[in-house]
Amino acid sequence: MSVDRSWFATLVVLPTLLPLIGAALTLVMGRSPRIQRAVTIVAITGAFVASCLLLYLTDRHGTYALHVGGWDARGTGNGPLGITLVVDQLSALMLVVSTIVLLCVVLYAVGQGIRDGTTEQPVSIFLPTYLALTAGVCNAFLAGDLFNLFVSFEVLLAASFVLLTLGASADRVRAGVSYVMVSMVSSLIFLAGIAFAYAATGTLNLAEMAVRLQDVPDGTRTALFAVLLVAFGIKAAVFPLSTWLPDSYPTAPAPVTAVFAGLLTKVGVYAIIRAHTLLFPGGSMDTVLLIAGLLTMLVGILGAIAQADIKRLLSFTLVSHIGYMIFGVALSSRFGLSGAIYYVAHHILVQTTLFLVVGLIERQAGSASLRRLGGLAASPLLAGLFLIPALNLGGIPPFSGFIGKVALIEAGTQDGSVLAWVLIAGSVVTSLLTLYVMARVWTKAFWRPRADAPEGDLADVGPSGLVDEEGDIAFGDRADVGRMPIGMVVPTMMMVVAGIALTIWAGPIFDFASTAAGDLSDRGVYLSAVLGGPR
Amino acid sequence: MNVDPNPVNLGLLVVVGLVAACGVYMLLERSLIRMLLGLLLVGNAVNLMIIVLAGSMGNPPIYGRTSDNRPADADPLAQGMVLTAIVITMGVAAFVLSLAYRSFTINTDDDVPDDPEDRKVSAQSRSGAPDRDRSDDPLTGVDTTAGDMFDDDGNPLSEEEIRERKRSRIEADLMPSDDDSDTDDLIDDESLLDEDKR
Repeated sequence: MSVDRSWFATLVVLPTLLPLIGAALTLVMGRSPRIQRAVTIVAITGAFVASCLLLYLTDRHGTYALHVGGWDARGTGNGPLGITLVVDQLSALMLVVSTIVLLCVVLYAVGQGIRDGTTEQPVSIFLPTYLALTAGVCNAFLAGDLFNLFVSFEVLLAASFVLLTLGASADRVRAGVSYVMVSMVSSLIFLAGIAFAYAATGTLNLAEMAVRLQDVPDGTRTALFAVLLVAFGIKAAVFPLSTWLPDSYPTAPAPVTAVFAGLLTKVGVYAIIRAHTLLFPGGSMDTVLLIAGLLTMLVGILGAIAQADIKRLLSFTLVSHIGYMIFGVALSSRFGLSGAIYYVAHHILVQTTLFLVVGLIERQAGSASLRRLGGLAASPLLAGLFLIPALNLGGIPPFSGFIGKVALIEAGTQDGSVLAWVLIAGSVVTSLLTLYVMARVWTKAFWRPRADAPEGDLADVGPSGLVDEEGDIAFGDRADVGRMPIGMVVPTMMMVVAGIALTIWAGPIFDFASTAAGDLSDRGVYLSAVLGGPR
Repeated sequence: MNVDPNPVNLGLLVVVGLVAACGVYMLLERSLIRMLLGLLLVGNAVNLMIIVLAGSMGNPPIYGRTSDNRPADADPLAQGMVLTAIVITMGVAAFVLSLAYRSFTINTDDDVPDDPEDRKVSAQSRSGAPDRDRSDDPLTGVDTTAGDMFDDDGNPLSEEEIRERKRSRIEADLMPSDDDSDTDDLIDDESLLDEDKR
């Protein structure tokens, strides 16, 4: 039995459905951690396999739209009435990369839980919430109407609220409050944007809205786009809407920070790409986006230079590199878009890997602060695991970060405007500064003897599991120092390998991103898949 | 002059604006409960706006039901959206209330403090910089040879070991003319060692 077009209908719902079923099961099975773990891993693996098949199918057969419940209203003159799930090459690629990340991180978290787990660790709620987050992320990539996108944002946000405040220590409550408030404000702005768009077009379906927006006056259309951009910009952490991110992410447990850093901002970037290509083509906001992208890059990386805590430092590089994606999108060219898509995939993998490695560093050395760390190069494994993604992020050839940046810069030169050249200069400077920051982490945390660190004699009380343990003790008094648990190292290695795979198969993957960008630029593909018939 | 059959209710739009403004004002407060109230106000404003923008009053959107002989049905989609949004806001409100209670049990108030890391960075002097070493010169922050006084495992070297290292390094240089400076170096190192001990 071969995989053909008829599989689409089943596969499209699986990445959302499997994690949701898993979430329900794990919630019921709260008392038996083994079953919980098994269910979680099976559900996310299932979502991963379904995503891979979708990637294959979209590559072979193109875009597919599923009208859930059969409410497609074909031939009636009205648009689709029910929820529409659409999978095209961009969605499929995002799904595959996201499920890889989600799978590795959950393995890492389970490994950490097995090693460090005590009765106080609230793991019984961790896995169900994590699965709900998975369902929200996957659904956001598949949503074919604006309100469904809103609901999937809310699902993943509600889950992220719980994950960010696990254990509810003082730090996490403080970080959680600002995160919850900022996220909810962005959701309300999104909801207002939906209300405006609905008032202007009378539909929520993205494809139908795209058709009807052609008749909306230019000014109204730009205003709608601006409202949605603010909403998505907060989620994607685009300057000046990015300041919430470095405040809230670093306090969460390592696996949670890793998955947030990798995925949640990229969901925002994905929404920006969708809105920019499907709903509002023509680039009415491109100048604003280009300037925002430039400032995001520069302000983010300058913030990273001032940080001593590696987690905060990485949160700032995360903000900074969102600027590259905005740059690619705002060029409004097919090549720029394919560069942005490739960069999204690269950045999801590399940023998650780095946060996982920081989790290992914390486990090994009892701190993530550059003022305390030193001598980590004594473990070549850890050093290698850090160095590869760090060089990758810094844009050293031959890694995928270099390829993505070169693609974006080339797209910028093709554009040729003054602003594009300024952006090119900005992205090169940002890349160099990223390398500087990464080199500093390397020289301080890995090469310097620990005794030479200003606060090297201090360490955290215990290994940081899911629950935050506060307080410092002398480095020598640490009780639980030891080898890195194999259950944490292997998933990190898998992530590093995934990052290298993105380098080795850069050609095919970039070609894929390029066809995806082609399909996005030509809206007819999407429109005819959803609405039926050529338009 | 044509009269729009579905005029938008200006009064309700003004109410939406006022409620949203009050909500934003309260969101900017430091107290968590006020922020929550602000969030709820903005949420209600947006919900009201959806209802206003979705058209004028009409019959209940159920087949065969009428009310006041109105000509058209009300828009069910807008009502569905508002219901969904209300449920979501309610869930988040419950979560924020539990956060507020947790904040109260930890800090005995529900004010949201500044991020301590941000304060640390803004108050940071040269000696607190992230790239600082213990062995750096206290005034200028430049590297000193004291940074070499640790072995590969990070343990401090004894004076003998440092001399030994120094000597072997200079011998490797094979520069006989450096004899004088090499004793100078040793003296420098010893004085630095003394400083460390003090």
